Amino acid sequence: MAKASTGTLYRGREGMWSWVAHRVTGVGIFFFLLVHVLDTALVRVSPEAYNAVIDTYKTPFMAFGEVILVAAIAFHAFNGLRVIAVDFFKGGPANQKKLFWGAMVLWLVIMVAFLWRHIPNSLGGAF
Amino acid sequence: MAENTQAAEPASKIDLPASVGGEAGGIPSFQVTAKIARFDPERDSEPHWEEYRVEMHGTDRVLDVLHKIKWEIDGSLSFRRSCAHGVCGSDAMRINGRNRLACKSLLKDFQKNPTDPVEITVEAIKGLPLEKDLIVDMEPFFQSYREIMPFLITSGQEPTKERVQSQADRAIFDDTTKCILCASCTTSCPVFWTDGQYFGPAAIVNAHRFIFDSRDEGGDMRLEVLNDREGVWRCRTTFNCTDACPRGIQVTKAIAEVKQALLTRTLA
Amino acid sequence: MQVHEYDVVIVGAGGAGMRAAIESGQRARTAVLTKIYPTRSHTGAAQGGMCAALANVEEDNWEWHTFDTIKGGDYLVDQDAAEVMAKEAIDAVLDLEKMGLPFNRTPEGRIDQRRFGGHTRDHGKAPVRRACYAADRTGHMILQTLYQNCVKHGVEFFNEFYVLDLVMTEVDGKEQPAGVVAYELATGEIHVFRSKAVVFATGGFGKVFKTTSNAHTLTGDGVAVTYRRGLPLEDMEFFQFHPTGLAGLGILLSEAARGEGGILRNADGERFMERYAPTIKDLAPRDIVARSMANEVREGRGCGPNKDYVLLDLTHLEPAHIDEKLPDITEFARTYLGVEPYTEPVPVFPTAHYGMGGIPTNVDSEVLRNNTDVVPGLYAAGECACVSVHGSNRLGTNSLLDINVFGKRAGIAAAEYAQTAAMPELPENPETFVAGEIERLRTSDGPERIAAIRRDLQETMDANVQVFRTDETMRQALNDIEALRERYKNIGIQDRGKRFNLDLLEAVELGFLLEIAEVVTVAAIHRKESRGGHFREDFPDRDDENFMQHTMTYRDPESETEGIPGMRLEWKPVVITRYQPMERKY
Repeated sequence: MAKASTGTLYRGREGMWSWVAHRVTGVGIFFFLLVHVLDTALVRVSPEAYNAVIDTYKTPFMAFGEVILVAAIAFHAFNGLRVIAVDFFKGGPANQKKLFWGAMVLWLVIMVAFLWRHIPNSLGGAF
Repeated sequence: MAENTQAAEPASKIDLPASVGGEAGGIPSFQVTAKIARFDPERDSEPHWEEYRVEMHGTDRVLDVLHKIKWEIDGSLSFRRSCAHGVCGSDAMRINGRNRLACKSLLKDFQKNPTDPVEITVEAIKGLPLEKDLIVDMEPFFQSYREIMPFLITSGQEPTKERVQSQADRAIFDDTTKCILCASCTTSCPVFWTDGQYFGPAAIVNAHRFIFDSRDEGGDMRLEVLNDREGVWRCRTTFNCTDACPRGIQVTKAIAEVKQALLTRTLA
Repeated sequence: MQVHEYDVVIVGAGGAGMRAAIESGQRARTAVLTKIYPTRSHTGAAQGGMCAALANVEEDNWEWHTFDTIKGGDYLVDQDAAEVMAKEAIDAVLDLEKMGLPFNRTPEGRIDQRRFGGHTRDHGKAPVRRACYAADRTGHMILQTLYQNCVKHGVEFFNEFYVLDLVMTEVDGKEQPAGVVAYELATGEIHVFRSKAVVFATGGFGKVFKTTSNAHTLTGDGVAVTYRRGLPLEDMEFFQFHPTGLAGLGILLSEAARGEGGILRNADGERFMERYAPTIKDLAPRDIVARSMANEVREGRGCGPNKDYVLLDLTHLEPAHIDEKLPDITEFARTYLGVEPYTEPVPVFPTAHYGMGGIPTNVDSEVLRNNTDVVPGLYAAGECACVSVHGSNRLGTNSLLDINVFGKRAGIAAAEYAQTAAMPELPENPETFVAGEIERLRTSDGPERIAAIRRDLQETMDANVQVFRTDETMRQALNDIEALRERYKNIGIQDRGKRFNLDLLEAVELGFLLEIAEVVTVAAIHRKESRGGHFREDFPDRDDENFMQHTMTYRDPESETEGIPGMRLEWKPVVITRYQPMERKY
C-alpha cells in the first residue's frame, strides 16, 4: 500500500521563502482588512462609537502591531511587483533573485522611513 | 578559424600535481554518515530513519554511498538507478533537503576540506506516493505528462522529406527538449505537494516544448488543457523547480512563457 | 500468477523496442514489457548522432555508407544487411523527424549533418558529413521522441516487468515461442504472457566488465534468456572498448578530446603514446590507444589509489579552446570527478562500450536457430541482436541507426506474422522454472554476496578478456568464472520481501552475467586471430583464410569446446555481396 511521504523540511531558497512570506502577509493583510472595514464602518453607527474603538488602538502594543502591518504591506507590495515581473516580463525569471533582494532593499527603505516617524509618535506625543 | 592550439609540443614528461597520479597523491577518503528514510511496505506503517557509516572516496557520489550500503551492509535498501551519469533520470531523491539526482551529487560538494567527514540525509521525493525506501509511484507523474499530449501534432499530408525548420525556430524550444522526466521539479513544488492534481512543472515544460515548436499545430489544444485551475495558473513562482532541475532547464521561465502565451492569445 | 494474451510481446523499451512497438501497435494487439521505465533506457545516453546518406550538406550516397560500415566492421559484416541498413537509413531519419525529433538544422532549415569517425565519401577518400544530430544529445531526443509516439499511439506498457524466461512450444516438430514469463517488480508476482510473436530488444551486456559505459541495468537479459533456451549467440567475442572513458565511472569522453590536442600520461607524467606509436602518438586508432593505456596499468605505471587508470591531459590547451570544442568533457570531468580540466589531467581508462554480438537474426529481424533456419515468431533488434551489420567493430552513429531500421523491421514482421499465425499452446506450468528460481533466491541465505561475486567477475573480465587477450589470460578468466559459478550456488540475499525486491533481481541478473561472460570468453578463445574489437597478443593478425566467418555459440549439454563442457561452437559464413575483404587501413 503506497504511503504519503513525510520527512524533512524542503530546503528551498529565495523563491520558496518569499512565496511563504507572500502567503502569510497576504492572509494577514486580508484579516486585518476585515477588521479595519468593520471598525471604520462604525462611523455610520455614531461618531462616539467610532472614537471609542479607535481609542482602544492607542496602546504601545497596537503601535507595535502597526509596525508589523506596515512591514507586511510593504513586503507584499514589493514582492508582488517582483512576481508580476517574473510572470510577465522577459528578464523576470532569470533575475528573480536580484529582484528579490532589490525588493528587500526597498522594503528596508520604507521601514526605516516609517519607523523614523512612528517610534517617536508611539513613545512620545500621540497618546 | 584554425588556431595553433599547441604552440610547442607538450612535454614528454611532467610532474603531476599531488591530487592525481603517482604514489602519495591519490584521492582522499573520508567517513560518510548517511541518514536514510527507510520504509518497508510489508512491515512498516510509517517511514523511519536509519543511519549508516561508510568509508568513501573523493570522487564518489551519493549513488555510490547507496550502492555501498546496499551491497555491503543492507541488501534491502531499495532505490531506482540506471545510467549513473545524469541522463536517465531514475535516481531523483531528496538529499540534504533538496531534490537532486543521486548520481550527480558529489560527496565532495558537501565538504569544505577533502578529508572532512560528510553527513547526508537521503529521502524519497515528496508528493508522489511512497512505495518502498526511496522508490515512489511514478504513475501520477507520467499521467500528467500524457495529458498534455506530448507528441507532434500535424495536419494534412506529410512532406516527402523533412519538415523545414529554421535555426532560429529550432532555438526557441531548445531548452525544454532537455527534460529527462526525472520528476525533480514537480516533486519540489509546494503547490504539487498539497495539490496532487496540479499538472506540475514537468508536464508544463514538455507542453512548452511542443507549443513553441514551429512544426507543431496542436499549440492551441495544449494551451487549452493548461488554461485550467489545475494548470499553469497554479504556479506560484516558487522557483524550487528551476533550482532542482538536473539539466539546468529554466523551468519557471518556461511556465511563465506559457502563461504569457495564454494571455496574448486571449487578447489577440 | 496471471496469464495475459497478446499477438505480439516486445521485451525492452529502448530505441529498438519502442520503434518496433510503434509499428506493431498499429497492426496487432501488442504489449511492451520493460524492466525500467522506457525513458530510462540507455539509448538516452548516446550523444554522437545517427547517420544517413541524406546528402543535405554535401554529396553522399548509401553505397558509400555501406562500404564504410563493412570496412569499419573489419569485413565481418553481412553485406546484405549493411546494404539494407544504409538504404533504409534515409527513411529512418526522416521518420524520426516527422515524429517530431528536433534535429539541428542547416541554415536552409534542413536536417544538419556532421563528420564522424569512419564515415567517408567515395570509399575512404575523405571524411563526409553524414551524422544527423540533435545538439549533443541525439540519443536522448530519439528516446523521448519514440516514447512520445508510443504515447500518441496508445502503446500498452508493462513497466518494471522483468522478463526472465522464454516459453517455447513444439509445433510441427519445431520449437517456437509461445510467450514469455515475467516478474513484476512492484508486487513480486509472476506473469505469463502468451503471444504469437516475441520481439527481444533488451540491449547490451557491458556489465560483465568492470569499466563500462553501460548502465547498471544492462545485464544482457534477453541474450541470456534465449541462450538458455538452446538458441545460438553470434559473434559474442567482439566487444568495443572506447579508449577514453572516465576512470571508474565509464562515462565516455568524446574522441574529439584527442583530436583537439589532448594527450595521455601515466603515473610518471610521461606521454607514453610516444613509445607505442612514435609518429602519430595519441591519434592512433582506438584499439591501439586502448591497448597502450591498458598496458601502462598492467606494467604498474597506473595512477590513483589503486593504480588502475591513466590521465588525459588537456592542461596545455587554452581554456577558451576547451570550452568551445570540448564542452561535454569539462562538464563531466568537473561534475563526476571534481577535476578541473583547465589545470588538472583527467583520469581515463578503456571502457567497454558496445557488444557487436548477440542473438543472430536475418535482415527481417527473424531469430535464427542455426545458420539457415528461422525460429517462426521470434524476433530481435538493437544491441541484443546480431544481424550482423557491425561485424567485428561498430562505427560511431551506426547504432542509433541500427535500432531504428531493424526495430522497425522487427515490429512490422512480428505483427504481420501474428496476423496469420495461430495462438500457440502454452506448455504445462510454463512458470515453473522462474517461480522456482525466484523462490530459491528469495529465501537463499548462503554466505556469498551478490556484489562480491559480481565485482570479482567484472575484475577478471577487465583483466583477462578486455583489450589484451591471450589464451592464457582467457583461460584464467574461464577458471575464475567457473569458481564464481560455484560461489553463485551459495549466495544469500538480504531482502526477503515481495515488493520492489531489487536485491533478488540483482541475483538473477548476476546469473545472466555469469552465463554471458562464459560465452564471450569461450568464443574469444576459439577465434585464433585478431579482428576489430577482438585483439589477441598471441594471434595479432587478421586471418581471413581460417576465420572470415561468424562464431555461433550453442548451449549443448552433450558438447565440449575448448575444454568447457556444455558449449558447442560452430561457424557461420559471412554474406559477401559487393566488397572483397581488404586490409583495413585508414
